[in-house]
Amino acid sequence: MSLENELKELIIKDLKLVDITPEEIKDDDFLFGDEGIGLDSLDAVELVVLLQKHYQVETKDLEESREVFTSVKTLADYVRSKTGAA
Amino acid sequence: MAEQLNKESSPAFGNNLGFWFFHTFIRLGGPLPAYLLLIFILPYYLLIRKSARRSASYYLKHRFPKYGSLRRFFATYYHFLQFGKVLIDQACMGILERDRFQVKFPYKEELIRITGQKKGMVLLTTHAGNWMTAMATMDKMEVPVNLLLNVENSDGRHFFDLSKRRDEFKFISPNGFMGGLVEATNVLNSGEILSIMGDRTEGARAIYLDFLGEKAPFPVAPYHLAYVTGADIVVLLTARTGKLSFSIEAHCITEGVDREKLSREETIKMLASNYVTLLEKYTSEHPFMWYNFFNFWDEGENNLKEITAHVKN
Repeated sequence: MSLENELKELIIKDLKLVDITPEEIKDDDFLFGDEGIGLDSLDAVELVVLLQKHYQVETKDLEESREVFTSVKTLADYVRSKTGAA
Repeated sequence: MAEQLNKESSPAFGNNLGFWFFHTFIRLGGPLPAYLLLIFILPYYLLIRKSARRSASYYLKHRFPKYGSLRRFFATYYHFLQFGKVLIDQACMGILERDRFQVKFPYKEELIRITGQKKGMVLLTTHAGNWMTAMATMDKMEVPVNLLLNVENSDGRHFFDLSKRRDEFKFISPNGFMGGLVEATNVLNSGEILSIMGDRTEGARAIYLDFLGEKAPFPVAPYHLAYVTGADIVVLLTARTGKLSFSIEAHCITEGVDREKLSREETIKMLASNYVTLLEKYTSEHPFMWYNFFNFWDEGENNLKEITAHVKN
């Protein structure tokens, strides 16, 4: 399974999202705001913990976080850059 | 303007010139001349500033529902008097030597014990009493203290500026990235202290609970942060007990709550209910020390995002 698909499954499971499946999330969909899958700031809290728990990756640089939390693709790229995952 | 100030801090109490007079009185003669000045200024707010009276009425009509207009008028006067004294005391804490103050804080050792566990601590504060008192005693904590607070719009700026102690705290702006919650999560994960006001939603996700006889919205963020990070939540409540004299209570509301067995929603509701129970007890014991001067019982339903949105039980 690609890292993108793994992240989609984790996001749905850990954030307890309903009415949405991993297949419905495109890699480039915005995670936050009305145009994307509609996560909000409380979901961002879960994302920070998700990255730490599953990939031991921290998001302490706020400017970097703005970019990282854009889409599943940017999340996956960030995890790869920190862990060397495929 | 008045409406804006109501939202941001106190009900349009004071301006820069007024603060300068009070600060000068305190520097020259301590708190007593400032208290005296307050007595002469209060009738202006009570008789002329309708917006100030209205700001106090939201709470007073919930706390004293049976009061007629005359009793409520005098209650408003007393409420303003107490609030004015608290503001003067806050300025005094920034200006005068620390040994002039008496602070009873028997729970401080407990706070040190909790922070020693290094799992992070949410310090839930309230627009009641003098929460700056509690902040003033935080300097001896062994872990950094972060405040999720727009300090420029807070009454607290006087204390932090006058005491030149802004550097002792790290301020996380709620107007920043994701409302400051990413930064907040990181500080809790690092075992630090995060102070959040528990009685303002600022349009964020809220939970509605009965408070003084009517449903009121309370922010979900403090409980959500604690649930996700495993941090403890300690409610800090302060009371003015006399001239430059305060007491501080601390209650760990996560103690005894088995977060492993409860769902996120159940945990949030239980913790928020624990907080509201403490607030009701506090307002019963200190009816004129509640200084959240806006109608949060009637905060726009349109701003409310149901806690259940996107969330499966």
